[in-house]
Amino acid sequence: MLLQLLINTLIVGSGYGLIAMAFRLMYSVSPFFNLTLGSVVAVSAYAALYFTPSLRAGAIFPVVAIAALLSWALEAFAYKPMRDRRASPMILLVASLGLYTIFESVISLAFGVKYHALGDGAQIYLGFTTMPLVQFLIIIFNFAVFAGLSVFLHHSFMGKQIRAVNDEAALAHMIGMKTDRIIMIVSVITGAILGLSGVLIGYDTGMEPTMGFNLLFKGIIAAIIGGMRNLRGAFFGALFLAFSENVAVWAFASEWRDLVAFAIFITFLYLRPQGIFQKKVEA
Amino acid sequence: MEYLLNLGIIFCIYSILALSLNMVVGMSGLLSLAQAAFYGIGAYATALCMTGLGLDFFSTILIGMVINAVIAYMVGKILSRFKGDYYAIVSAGLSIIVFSVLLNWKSLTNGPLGVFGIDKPSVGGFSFSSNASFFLLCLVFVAMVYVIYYAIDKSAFSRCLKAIREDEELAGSFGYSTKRFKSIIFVLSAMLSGVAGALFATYIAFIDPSTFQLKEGIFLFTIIIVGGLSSAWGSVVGAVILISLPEALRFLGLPYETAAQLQQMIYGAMLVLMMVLRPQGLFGKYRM
Repeated sequence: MLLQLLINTLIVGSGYGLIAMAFRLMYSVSPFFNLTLGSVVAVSAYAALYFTPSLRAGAIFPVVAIAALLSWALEAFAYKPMRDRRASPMILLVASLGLYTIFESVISLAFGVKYHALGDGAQIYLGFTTMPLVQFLIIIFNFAVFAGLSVFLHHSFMGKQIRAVNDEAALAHMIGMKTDRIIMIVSVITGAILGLSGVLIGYDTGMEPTMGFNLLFKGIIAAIIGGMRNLRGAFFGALFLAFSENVAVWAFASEWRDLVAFAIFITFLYLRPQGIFQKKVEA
Repeated sequence: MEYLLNLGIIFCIYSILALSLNMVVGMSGLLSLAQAAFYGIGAYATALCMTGLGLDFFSTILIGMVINAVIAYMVGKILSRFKGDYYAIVSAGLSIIVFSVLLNWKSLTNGPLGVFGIDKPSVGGFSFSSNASFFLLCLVFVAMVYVIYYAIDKSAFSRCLKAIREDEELAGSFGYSTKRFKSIIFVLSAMLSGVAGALFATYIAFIDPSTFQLKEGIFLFTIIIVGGLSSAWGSVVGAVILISLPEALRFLGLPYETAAQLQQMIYGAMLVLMMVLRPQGLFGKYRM
């Protein structure tokens, strides 16, 4: 029972974790709540549905490429022009809400509003137990992306630049960093991570047009619970959120899942606005 | 004629909602997506008190307003600590919580099946059962809310809110308790949207939780973005524009599902266009 709870936490938390890390990474260079990140997740899941019914490496990579391209295009043709005209974070948020709505209706028109399942139920044998291959992959990719991004952000020149923009965008720009180029690169990386999560979650739990918003929402909550200051917060925040949800489902019933997630989120913001792991209090 | 009256009643209900939301978003610069929650609570308060307890319409409005005030006060205590995008995300979370309660607290709200058989309002033997009389009743309420909005807008209270909107820290350093101001306007706005909920419930005679989702909150938000932030007139115009649009689409004769998605797409495009071309909205006085 407890083991099952932990495994479920790991699966769900890894799905949230990928999205939370992608959101956090994008937020670090472009600080507004970008709702089209959710569209990228949904588009990836539906792209997987369109291209192939079974989970193969050949299915994942084209979709990840599409997602990265979409994320880049949104940045280049929507947000950058608005940022150049000195749009405030609120304006960008509302514009992204509008774009998200457009994506959701396009998906609904193309594929219908009904739930679609995907995948051939491939299993993997782990020595002591079997589990669906896709769930195993979600967990592996979550850890791999976390490790990869941590190394990238702390041990590469590009990573240092990204962190510099995160700390003080205006200053980074002033000493000659090409902040626009950095934002573009981050949007491509973010898009790839979101694409990966979209494909995997699509194969695991199926898809509906509203999935992007719901998943992104959980990702944002996870990142905020984790403290919004670094990647580690997003990673562990996602696991914590998934654990609380699973305990709630086990203790009450599955329909209270969302309520519990948001109740935890709001309690957290009220009691510890700085997140679980941080000591310093932000305003 | 009946069709136009029906449309008029819907205009009125959404005008009340837009006016009350504009107090929070336009006047105070707080990006609230929780308005549908208070709309829903108002509607359920009226529906349940009228069908279950047999109370009369006008007292149920008061009950709904009181419940909304209490909830908004408690919620406002939390919300008032935030601003900007955090305010938006937390208020969206609250909207989802209220929807979840309406949907899942089956013993009280009858869950997804909803509440039906809600009577039309009546006073002293006269029942507002014809569309014409109901429309007049709605107009009276819109006029009242409009006057309330106008009165607040011209008061010293709203000048403080606008100061908070422009620079919360500066307003705070002048000694204004910014959290209290934010909380008061949130409570007022929640009470007024409860009135819209009560009118909706008695007009349609049947309510279920699906009307009061976050999507509705975003729709209301779109209305005031298009109509104009911090403008009473803009709220009403926005409501008229965004309600008429799907009615116009209806004449194209598209299948229901396609029309619904097309409508969403147009709302989305309107939000983006407004943000690019005129972030304060058609008649707005405040630019985010």
